[in-house]
Amino acid sequence: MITNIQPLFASGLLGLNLKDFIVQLISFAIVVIVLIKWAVNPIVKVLNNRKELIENGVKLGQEMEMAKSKLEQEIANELHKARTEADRIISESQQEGRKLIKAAEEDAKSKAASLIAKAGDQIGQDMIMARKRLEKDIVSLVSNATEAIIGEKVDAKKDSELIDKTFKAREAE
Amino acid sequence: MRAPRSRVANVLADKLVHTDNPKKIIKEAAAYLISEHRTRDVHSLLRDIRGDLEKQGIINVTAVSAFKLSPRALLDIRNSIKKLYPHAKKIIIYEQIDKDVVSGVRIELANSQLDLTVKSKIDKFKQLTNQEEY
Repeated sequence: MITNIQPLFASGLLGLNLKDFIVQLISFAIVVIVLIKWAVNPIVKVLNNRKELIENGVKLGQEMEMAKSKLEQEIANELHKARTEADRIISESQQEGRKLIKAAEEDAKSKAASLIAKAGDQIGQDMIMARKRLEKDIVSLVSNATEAIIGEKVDAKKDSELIDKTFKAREAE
Repeated sequence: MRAPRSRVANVLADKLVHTDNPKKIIKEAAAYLISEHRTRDVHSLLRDIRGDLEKQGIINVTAVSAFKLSPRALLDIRNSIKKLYPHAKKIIIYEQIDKDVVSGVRIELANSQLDLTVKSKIDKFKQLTNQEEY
């Protein structure tokens, strides 16, 4: 084939010069090599870096999304736990409060019963004292009345008889 | 030095037994007590003299009653004292009227007394009733 076209270059019929062609080919090759080395490769590298960066960003976004989801789940769980705990504490507090109220009521009942019993005892003692005072007053009254009546009724004759009687009774003893 | 009361009583009792003029002895005794500033001892001294006289057979009795005692009552008292002091040579009864005794008689001796009055019985009744409270 080359042999077929060689006359064409040699004759310059098509305006082509083999020499020029080779030079141009070499210069093209050099340009290609230069472009590949200092233009394409850095561009590809930059593109690769960007691609990697984007992929990393997407991956990070996905991870963050997952972490967010997980965190929300954890928050929900913690909130649930906190609510449960709060409910338990409130329930316990209410029970404790009921117990305290019940204990206070029982204590109050006990104290009231004790007070009533004491008051009963006191009333009983007061009654006994009052009765004794009354008895004493009655005895005093009776004694005074007896003394007054005897004083009124007894004269010298009766007094003498009483003395005589007393001595006789003593002799009989 | 002050003579003991018992010694004074002893001397006075002895003098009273052997004197014909007891009033003079009593006056002397009163003068002695005043001069010695011992008038406060008069009641104790009388009691001691009575005690000493009792030892010598002379019984001094004070009979306290609401009314004047009848001869029968005085005899009863005398007999009662004779029973208490069989060796008594002489019994002297001093009568004392006190309406507070109501009725009956209280016989007072040197160191004892026999209370047969209505007042004492009423007082005893009151006392016993009060004791029951405690």
